[in-house]
Amino acid sequence: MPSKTSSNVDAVRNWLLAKHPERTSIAPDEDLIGSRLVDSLSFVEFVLTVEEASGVEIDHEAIDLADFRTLEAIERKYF
Amino acid sequence: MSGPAIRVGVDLVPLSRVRTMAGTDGGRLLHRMLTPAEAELSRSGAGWDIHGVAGRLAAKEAVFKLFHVTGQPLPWQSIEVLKSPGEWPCVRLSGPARRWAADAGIEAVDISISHEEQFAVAVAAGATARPPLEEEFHAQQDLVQR
Repeated sequence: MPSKTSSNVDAVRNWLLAKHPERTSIAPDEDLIGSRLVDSLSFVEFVLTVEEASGVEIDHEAIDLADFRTLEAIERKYF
Repeated sequence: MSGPAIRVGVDLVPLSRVRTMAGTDGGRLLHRMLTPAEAELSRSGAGWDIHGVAGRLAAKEAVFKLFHVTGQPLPWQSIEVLKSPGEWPCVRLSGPARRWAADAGIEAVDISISHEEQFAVAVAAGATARPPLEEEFHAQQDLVQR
């Protein structure tokens, strides 16, 4: 359902915003890695956040970074 | 061009971020990033050795940078930072890290770790028997000439 999907992606967005209080918004196509909203140290927690929000179990050893680069890529792959 | 080439990686980890991770859900994140052997080396009676964990995480990232892979996240569990019999840090590769090292022709990896009050820093060096790509060689020459 679109409304549920939007709400779950918002959980990921809210996690990012909580980590970066200097930010008030994140565009769906913003490069989360290039803009350093997610770095190597926070990536594991980020993946767990996507797992919890989507209910999809993610194989951490088989991740393609392209699937986590933007909120719209995450939504496309996991929601 | 012929002869061996070296690769270098470096990383810096703020201790404050490790403290936050250690204090979240009983260190769940650290257990995802450290192997059981590393976790054993990184704990004392008082809990997590924050300096030790930060140094270990910095070393993993520094080693990852040697592989020059793109589009892949750091495989925390397949780069292990352990201790040699002389207490010096040493690296054990497995899984994807071992494969990427082989693909890059890296035959040996060494690391060095240092800490101070707020940060841990690590440097990794990899030796390859393979000559660098032409463009890499020119980049190295350019730096030498500066």
